[in-house]
Amino acid sequence: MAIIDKEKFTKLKHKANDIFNRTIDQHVTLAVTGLSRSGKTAFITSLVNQLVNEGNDSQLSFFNPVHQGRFIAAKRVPQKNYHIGRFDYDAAVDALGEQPPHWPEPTKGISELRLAIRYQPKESLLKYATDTTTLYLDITDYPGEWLLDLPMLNQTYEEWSEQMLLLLSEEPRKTAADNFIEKAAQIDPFQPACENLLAELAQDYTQLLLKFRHELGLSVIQPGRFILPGELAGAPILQFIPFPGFEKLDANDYQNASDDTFIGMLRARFVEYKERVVRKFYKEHFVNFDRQIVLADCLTPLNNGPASFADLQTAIAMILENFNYGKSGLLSRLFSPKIDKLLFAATKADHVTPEQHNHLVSLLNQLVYRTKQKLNYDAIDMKTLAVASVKTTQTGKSQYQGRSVPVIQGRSLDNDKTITVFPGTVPESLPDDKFWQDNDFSFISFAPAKSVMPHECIPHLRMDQVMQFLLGDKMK
Amino acid sequence: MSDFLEKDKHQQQILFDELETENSKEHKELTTQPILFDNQDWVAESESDIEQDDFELVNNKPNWLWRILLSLLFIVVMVESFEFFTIGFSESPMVTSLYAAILGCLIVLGGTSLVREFSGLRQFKQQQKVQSQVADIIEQNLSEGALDICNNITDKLPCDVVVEKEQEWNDIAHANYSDKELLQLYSRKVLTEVDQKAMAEVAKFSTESVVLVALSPVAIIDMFIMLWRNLRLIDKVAGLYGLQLGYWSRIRLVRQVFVNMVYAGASELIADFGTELIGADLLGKLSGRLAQGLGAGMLTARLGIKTIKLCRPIPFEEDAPKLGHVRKEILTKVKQLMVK
Repeated sequence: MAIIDKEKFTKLKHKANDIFNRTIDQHVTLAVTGLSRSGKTAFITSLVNQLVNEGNDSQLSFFNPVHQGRFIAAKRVPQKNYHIGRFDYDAAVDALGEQPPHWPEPTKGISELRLAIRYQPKESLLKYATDTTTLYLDITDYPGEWLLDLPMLNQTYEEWSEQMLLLLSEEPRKTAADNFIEKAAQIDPFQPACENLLAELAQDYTQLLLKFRHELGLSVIQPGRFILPGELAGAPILQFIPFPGFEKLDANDYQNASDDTFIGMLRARFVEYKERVVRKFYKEHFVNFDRQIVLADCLTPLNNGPASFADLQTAIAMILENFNYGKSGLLSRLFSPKIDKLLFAATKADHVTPEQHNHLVSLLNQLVYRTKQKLNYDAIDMKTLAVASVKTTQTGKSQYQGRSVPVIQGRSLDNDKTITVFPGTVPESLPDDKFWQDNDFSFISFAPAKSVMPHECIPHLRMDQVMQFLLGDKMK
Repeated sequence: MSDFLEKDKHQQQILFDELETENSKEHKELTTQPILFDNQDWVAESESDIEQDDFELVNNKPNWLWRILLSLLFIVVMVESFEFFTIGFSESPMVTSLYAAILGCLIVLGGTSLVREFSGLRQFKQQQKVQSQVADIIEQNLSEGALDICNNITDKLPCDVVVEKEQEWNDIAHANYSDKELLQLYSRKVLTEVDQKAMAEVAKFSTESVVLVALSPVAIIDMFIMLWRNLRLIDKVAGLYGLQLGYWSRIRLVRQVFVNMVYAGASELIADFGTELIGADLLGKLSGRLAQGLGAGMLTARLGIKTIKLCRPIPFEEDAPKLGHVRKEILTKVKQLMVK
């Protein structure tokens, strides 16, 4: 046996390299945050594509290293954690390159990706040391559904149940949830638990969540693994429900209830879920971020109505509470990284005409204003942009009733036909109730228009500004 | 002084009291009889503020006495010359026609230079207007036809500078960008090219000043060299950004440049000069004259950079040119010259 295990040595070398890169501030961990269907996979694919294919007719004028001609190249390199899947960039690019192109498959599990970006430093102290430097960028992709579990970390079963019940007892959830609550309320909490009944109830609850998500377009869906269980499908850890009627329970009885009673088992499973699933997920993937981009699709909630919009607002506020924000220095970068730049991106900007982008931005600002106020105190850098990771439409003008109207042209996702349309005005702020009674938004979803070969750059809107904001200051 | 202040205060106090009584009277009337206004009559507070600003601007109109004086002078000259020619042609037609020819030449010459001066001044003013417009758009994110502004700028730029970049600029789908972004993009795509040329120009002229001042034996020659080189530099840089300067517009620009340099903060001075002066000091040990030359060169460079900043239609967002950018080039060139 060799004195130094070769494998261990390589690992150690990797780790030392990482620490060195963090010390000289050439390592960024980017948090791509967004609920499901907000376009995380498309964003990551586009980001990697733009960086890797830079030079092939790329449109990155707002990204300073490219603009100043200091960007050399970027490539994918082996990631940090070998036990986690690699982000399937090739599959995503292939999906966009097929004839006709289609959107990449939604993410079902966690995957990672590391990019090495080589550039020439111009202003930082590094320029005295070397001609070229490498910036490492770590990105993690994960199902957006799981993100909403993070707020559970700070809750007890009792608190969580109450919060969920509060949500269920209000419209728009109430009508659908009444049956379930009634059924769950009939259970005697101190009876010995019946596994089958519990499984059945959990199944009902899952159905309910699926309905909220897909039919009502709501965002606050807890627990997230119920609708996207991954490898945990069918495990008892996913069989618990929020218990209605805590107010009738005696606090002492509840505390003393053993794990085989009904309420005890619910509590035990909740705790297990929280510790085993959520905390593990959090610890592995959500602690060490330096930069964050929050992707939010404002158009779909507008289509679904004010309740959906309010729900998205709550969801984003809930999620962002779980990240560390603050100014980051050398020590904090090494030992407890903090997010010091936060970008809010209103995705699908290509689904509306360009003069609506400002409205999209102010709408998103309204959506996140509470979070912004809170984070202003931490003095971190924030910005809101209307972006499209993959631009699917062409802009133009058309005549309508004798007036020239801006229009977009793209391939509709529903019927696969090319349409030319003025999709509607985006409200600058959320309209009042009166407006909603007589008006509806119906923004159309588009499929990618042209197939893009892997060596070509994906057309985009403002991805260069995103890069400049998130990475520009590290590549001075 | 304190007396005056107190009086002032006192008066204000009285005024205030009067106002208050008036208000309270009105208030009593209003409480008995509410008055409904037409909603359209309402003027928002901010709007009335703007009107006041306009009013102040109107007050600032140029002096009308000058105008009267000039028009009177013009009338007198016209009457006099008319009399001169009517009498002259009847008495000695040959000499008078010679005079007429001279006058004609004078009018043509004066007219053309006048026209040139005016167009120069107008261009200069227009440039300043564009600059303030651009600043408004960028700061407040307005939408005020940025595309037209950019195209206007392109029309004015010397054509050989930007043909290629212009093509690139035209290839962009402009509709996708907001006005602010368009301006930034234009600044990045097209104007950076001009910036580079202007900086090269600055470096060239500064090097020349270094060498010439170092070589010249008399101080007064130094001064003339500096004046000559600096004026040429300002002309060239302004030309690169599409400003055709006349005499008066040049004087205005020069004045602005100097005012700007004088009012530059101490910190900027130190940031600009700190390392350069040290460099000059070191060189000074080698040669006193060269050190003088280097100081002069740095001044020229600084002037050139200030001119760039004043002439550029879209202000630098980041990465504004600094002395450091030129210094290296100057030093290497000077070293090369010395080795030769």
